[in-house]
Amino acid sequence: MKFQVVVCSHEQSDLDLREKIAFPNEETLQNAYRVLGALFPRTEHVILSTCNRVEIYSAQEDAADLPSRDGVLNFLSEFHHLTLTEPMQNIPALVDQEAVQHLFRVVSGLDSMVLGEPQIVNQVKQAYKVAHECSACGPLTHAWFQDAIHVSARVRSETALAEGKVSIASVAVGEFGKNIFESFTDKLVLVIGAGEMAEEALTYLTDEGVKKLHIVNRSLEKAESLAVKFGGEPKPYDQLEELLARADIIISATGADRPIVTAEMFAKTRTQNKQKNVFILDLGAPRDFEASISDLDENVFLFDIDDLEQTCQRNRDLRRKEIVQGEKIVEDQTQKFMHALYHRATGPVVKRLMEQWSEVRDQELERLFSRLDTLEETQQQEITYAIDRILKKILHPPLQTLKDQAREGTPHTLMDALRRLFRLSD
Amino acid sequence: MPDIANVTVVCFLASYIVALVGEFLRITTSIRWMRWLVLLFSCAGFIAHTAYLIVRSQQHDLPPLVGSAHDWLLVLSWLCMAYYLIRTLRNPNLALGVFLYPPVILLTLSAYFVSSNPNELVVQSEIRQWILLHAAFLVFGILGVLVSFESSLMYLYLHYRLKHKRPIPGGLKLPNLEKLARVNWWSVLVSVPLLTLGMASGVILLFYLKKTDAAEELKLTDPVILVNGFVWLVMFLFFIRLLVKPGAKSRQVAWMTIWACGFMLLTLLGLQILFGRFHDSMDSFHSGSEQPRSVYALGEGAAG
Repeated sequence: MKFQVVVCSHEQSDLDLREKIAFPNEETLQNAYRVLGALFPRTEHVILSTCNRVEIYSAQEDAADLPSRDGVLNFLSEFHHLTLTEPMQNIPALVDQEAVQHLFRVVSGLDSMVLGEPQIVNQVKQAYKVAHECSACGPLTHAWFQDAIHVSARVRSETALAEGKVSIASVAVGEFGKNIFESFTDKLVLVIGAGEMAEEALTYLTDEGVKKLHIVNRSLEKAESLAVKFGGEPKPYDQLEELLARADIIISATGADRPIVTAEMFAKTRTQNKQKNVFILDLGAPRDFEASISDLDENVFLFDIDDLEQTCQRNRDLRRKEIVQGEKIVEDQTQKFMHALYHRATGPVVKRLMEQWSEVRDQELERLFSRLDTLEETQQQEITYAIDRILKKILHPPLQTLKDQAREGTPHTLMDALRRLFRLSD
Repeated sequence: MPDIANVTVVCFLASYIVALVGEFLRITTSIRWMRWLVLLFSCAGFIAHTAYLIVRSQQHDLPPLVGSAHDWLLVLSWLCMAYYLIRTLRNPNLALGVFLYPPVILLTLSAYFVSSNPNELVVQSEIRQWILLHAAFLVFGILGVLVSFESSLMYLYLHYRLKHKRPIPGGLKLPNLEKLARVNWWSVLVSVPLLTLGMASGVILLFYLKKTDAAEELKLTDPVILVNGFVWLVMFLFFIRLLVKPGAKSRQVAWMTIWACGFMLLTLLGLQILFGRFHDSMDSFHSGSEQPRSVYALGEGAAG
């Protein structure tokens, strides 16, 4: 059994690369699974695409059938019509135990930009759900992701990682927004998008006392539902330009595959109110606002997800103790998962061996008891018991060796030797 | 019980310097108790500063505002410290000291280079309360200018960090841009009328004193009066611009404040130190007619 993950996250790659290879919506993901299925038909895949990471998880019973790192990178470049430039070629791949451990860290929020953020759990669940709907995953990824959710629950319950500011919106608004505005209660907030990130941002903003709230989404229904929940006003998408001009705080988290607000469009909204401060938090990946908007005038403060990196790093440094505790749990769970996995790999060989020798034992006992028909039942039981013990003692050393070897990985050579020595059929 | 008459300028100057170092350490090291250490030294310095001014006032039987240029500068730095302490006690997380301590230390140090002799004109004058009012207008006007200058510095620093997407260092908690712009606006709006009143009352007093032959040597063409008049004019034009264009960008206002207020403060201190040497200048009128003290007089006590 082989596990692999190709990792393009905020730790290795900047947003410029991540947004190019992102799978921002379900439609893109479905297309991606179709292409992956055609390229690597025997492999299970799950694609995780969030604002912080684009990762392709793969699992395969037979190591030979697992796509190589280069294979996955070629898929990414061809799917997104990109040339394999240097930053893309540097995207790393982790295999087996490292890959398993990586997913466990990701889902526990240990690898998140905002340490311990809970949103990642839903994002991983959602990624698995889409993979399942597209028939891209299977029993290996199922076990892997199931365990990951369990690990996440353990880390969150046994450490204080999930306490404090644990959403991207809260960190961004807390670090930058509060340095611009004295209070949010009199500010007009515009939220673009109605997904999970937008909801997280709304939760934080309403907690901060925001009263004037406009929600814009391509689907007005979703905007309405969020507006009801948070007491805002849903607005049709075609009013976006007018709303941009009026807003003091703009938070955007859409699944658009290109910027929805260009510099030219935003410049028009600033002609009448250049002296007004506007704080824009672009949580989209790909970004929803063109980066050059930041240079339009001195009172436009535009931040994207990567601008939070330094702040989040400071937060990590302050919570080192919690991280160590969380990492220990992840390490422990990874070991357990790998052992269970390797034992699962050796299981069929052990079972076949036991069955084969049990058949031999039964045949020989039957032959013996038919010859010695004068034996009493208690005597027959004693003989059966003695042969059982001999059988177990004979099989114990090879099975124990197999078990020991399984602790270090699937013992393919040993299993092959056992199959050949004892002529075990599949 | 220590005798407060023995308090020297070194006592509070040293406290302020230690507090400033503490403020910088607070930013770079994020040591939690450092803020309380800074506050402790600030309060200790402020108490010593207050005691020094009280003793000086009692010795010369003059309010510190009009006692001498030395006292006048120390009153200004005392007011800055009072402003700092009020703001810091209201919100101990704020690191205002980084921006406020340098001018406080500069003012305190400047006090050494000007006369500390009591002003004979004020001692003998029958219109002491009017002179006091004139000095009060000026000192509170200059305090407003200092506050405006500091808030503009903070505004520009914060604006730069935010615009360049750099996080604010953990220990350097500053008021937000909106608040800083408002403080800047109001401090200019309050300080310029006060300075105007101070200038006007000064001119009226000058004419009055000339009539009484108390200060015959004083002329309107005195370079100190001319330079101060020019500085006031700059500030006044800036003030008019703020009123005429209330929607001006806060960053531009901050830059203009830095230039206008910085120019004014430098000129004011420069004049105090430079012209304090000449007996026939306007400054000698304010400071008395003693040669400035040397730096080795730093340890001189209030009694001394």
